Amino acid sequence: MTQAVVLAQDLTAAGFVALGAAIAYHWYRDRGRAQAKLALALISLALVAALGRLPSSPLLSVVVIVAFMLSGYFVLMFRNEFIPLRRTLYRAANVLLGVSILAGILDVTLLQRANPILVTLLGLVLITAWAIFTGEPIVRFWLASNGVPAVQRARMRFLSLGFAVLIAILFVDVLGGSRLQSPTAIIVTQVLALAVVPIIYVSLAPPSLLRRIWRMSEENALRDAMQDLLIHSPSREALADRAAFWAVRLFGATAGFVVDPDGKVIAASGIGRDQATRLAANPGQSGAIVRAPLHLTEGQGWLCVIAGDFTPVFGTEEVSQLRAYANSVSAGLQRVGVTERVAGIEKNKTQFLNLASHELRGPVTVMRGYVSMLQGGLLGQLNERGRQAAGVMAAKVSEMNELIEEMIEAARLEEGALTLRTADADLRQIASSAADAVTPLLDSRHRLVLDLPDRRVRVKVDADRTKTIIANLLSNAIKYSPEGGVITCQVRSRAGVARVAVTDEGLGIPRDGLPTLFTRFGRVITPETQHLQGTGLGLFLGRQLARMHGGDITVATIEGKGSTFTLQLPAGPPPNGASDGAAQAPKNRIGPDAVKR
Amino acid sequence: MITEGGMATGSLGSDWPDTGSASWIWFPDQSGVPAPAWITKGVLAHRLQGREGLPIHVLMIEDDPSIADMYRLQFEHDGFRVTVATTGEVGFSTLSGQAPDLVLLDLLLPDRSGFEVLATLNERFPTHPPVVILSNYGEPSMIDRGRSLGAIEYLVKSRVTPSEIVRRIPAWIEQGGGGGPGKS
Repeated sequence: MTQAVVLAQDLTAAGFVALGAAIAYHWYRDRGRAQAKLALALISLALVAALGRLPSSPLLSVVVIVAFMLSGYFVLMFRNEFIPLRRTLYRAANVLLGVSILAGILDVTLLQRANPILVTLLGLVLITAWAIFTGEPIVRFWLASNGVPAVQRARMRFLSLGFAVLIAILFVDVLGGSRLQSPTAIIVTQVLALAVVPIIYVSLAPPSLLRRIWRMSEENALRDAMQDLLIHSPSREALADRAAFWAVRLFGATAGFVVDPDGKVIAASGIGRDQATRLAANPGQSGAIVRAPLHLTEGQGWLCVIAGDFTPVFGTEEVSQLRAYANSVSAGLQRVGVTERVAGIEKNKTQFLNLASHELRGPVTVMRGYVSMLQGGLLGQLNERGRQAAGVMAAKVSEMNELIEEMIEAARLEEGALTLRTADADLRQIASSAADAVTPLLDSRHRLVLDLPDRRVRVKVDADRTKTIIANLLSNAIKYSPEGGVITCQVRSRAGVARVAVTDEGLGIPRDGLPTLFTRFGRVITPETQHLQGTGLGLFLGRQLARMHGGDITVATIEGKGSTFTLQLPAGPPPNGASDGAAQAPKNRIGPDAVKR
Repeated sequence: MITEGGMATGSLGSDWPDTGSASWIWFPDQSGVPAPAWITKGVLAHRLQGREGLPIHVLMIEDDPSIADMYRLQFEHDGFRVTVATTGEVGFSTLSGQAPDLVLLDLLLPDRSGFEVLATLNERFPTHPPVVILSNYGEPSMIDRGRSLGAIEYLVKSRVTPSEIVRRIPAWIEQGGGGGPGKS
């Protein structure tokens, strides 16, 4: 049993010596005033533990007493580095140190043979002084640990806990006196004291596994924040705001801000912009600012945080994390910058499209009006050639009008301002009026065949826009059949789907042109079609509008033989009366007589 | 700034006898018979039915002279009387003078927007003649706004020709009735 006691005491002493050596090594690697104080405290404690194992002598006892009191005193000085003590308290601490050392020396020298109660009282004075030196920082660290990131928090609490256990052991030891001199009691206290060694050690240099465990609670929030940073965020400023907020939170800092390469503060959290601007201009002024570079295309910006009181010692982990975080912020800012530029270009384009098309409407109105007057004879009778020319002009002006309408529709679609005005309609009527609208485009080589069913084809659509879609398919069929031929517009309804199929015998579309066919401005240019004019908006709009109706446009084509474009729309319920609309001839032939060459 | 369109000579309207407020079908050597309703409401109506037998008076508030001139040509050809106002303010002074039967209103005017003109019209002339908006803009929101301010029709200029407008004028005047906002 005695051997076990000795072993426990030796182990404890060895543990504290190892702790002292470790902290000395840490301090040697990155020296700081605060670290130095804590190192002195723990080295003193190691000295106490080591010297306690040597045969006792008065001199040794004096050294042990002094080292013991210093170990407590340096814990207070360690705390003093973060939050300076008031002058009076500082003086009081020095006086207390002097008095307690004196009492300790008296205790182990002159009064060694005095009344045991007096000896105990003196011992109590020593322990109380030590408890005051260490107790105040313990409470202070514990309270301050509430507002800091998980790793910092855990480290501060472990340090507090370690010293709290030491205080408890010392008090129990002194007050317990001879009653605690049994081997079991000694072993228990020694084991407890030994347990303090790893507790204090992890508070100074926590292994990565522990860090990970401590950080786990924060990881999810951080991951969300990173994702936010890289994927969402509406604007550069909003992103920078979030970055500053998270930097403060991650770092346990008091404030943070983001600085543009040109020195402008784009976001600040926990600090006014003016103050942040001053600090950004003069970062050297305050040693408490930690900066991480932001690598942006315009140059180097900074993510700055104003460190919290405990950051220099407990926040080493967070400093490296801040640099990693800054890289994500850089990427996020870059992305948002690019997105904003692209959105700006898109917006400009849409605005231009909108403006240009509306401005074009004015001249077209006048041209269209006068051409119709010329045709109507209001400006005097035209001869045959004049009438022909007026007809061509009318067709071209109406083509121009259609292009303008397409451009405006495209701009509306881009802005999300396009809304359908749907009503019940007969698709046959819409197809007929679309055919009428393109009649002026036909020449003598074309024949347009309108193939309509006897029964009404009920659809719930925006009639104007559906007419535009069909007219566009028809005018494409005419345009891409330069050699003429039959153009069929067939309307059918089956199985809940109403279809308008426009078939031509024209150029067809090469296979590699199909992917771009329905894209915005996506014209398929071939030697045969390069002289034909068009915006490349018609099919794009047609498909978008059809899809807004719950339908689509599909194409079947053979290069050199022709194409069939099919508009599909959801059909309404079948009509009750079969005679409904039967007066309409199943086939309407629209001749090429509108424009003759 | 007011340009007055005179009555067209040689057109039917100017040759017809002044028969007071009613419309008459007139034959030579006859004192005339009251026109049946289907005629007065039909195709010829616009040649017959101005207020107090005068030709229909159209006020066009439009600052683009090329458009105004074009419409004037068509309207005068069809026997209408046309007043063109190039600003909203001029339009108001026309309205307080010789009240037109119909107002064609542009939306982009030098002094104020057509919507403001219409709102002021509703305030200052509660029984103003029917208003038809003729604009280069056809945004649904603008159409809705025009309608809610009491315009009986909203048309996009490039989609209509003057002759189409002429054909529809009688119906608009009839629809407008005694004038005033919010009748549509």
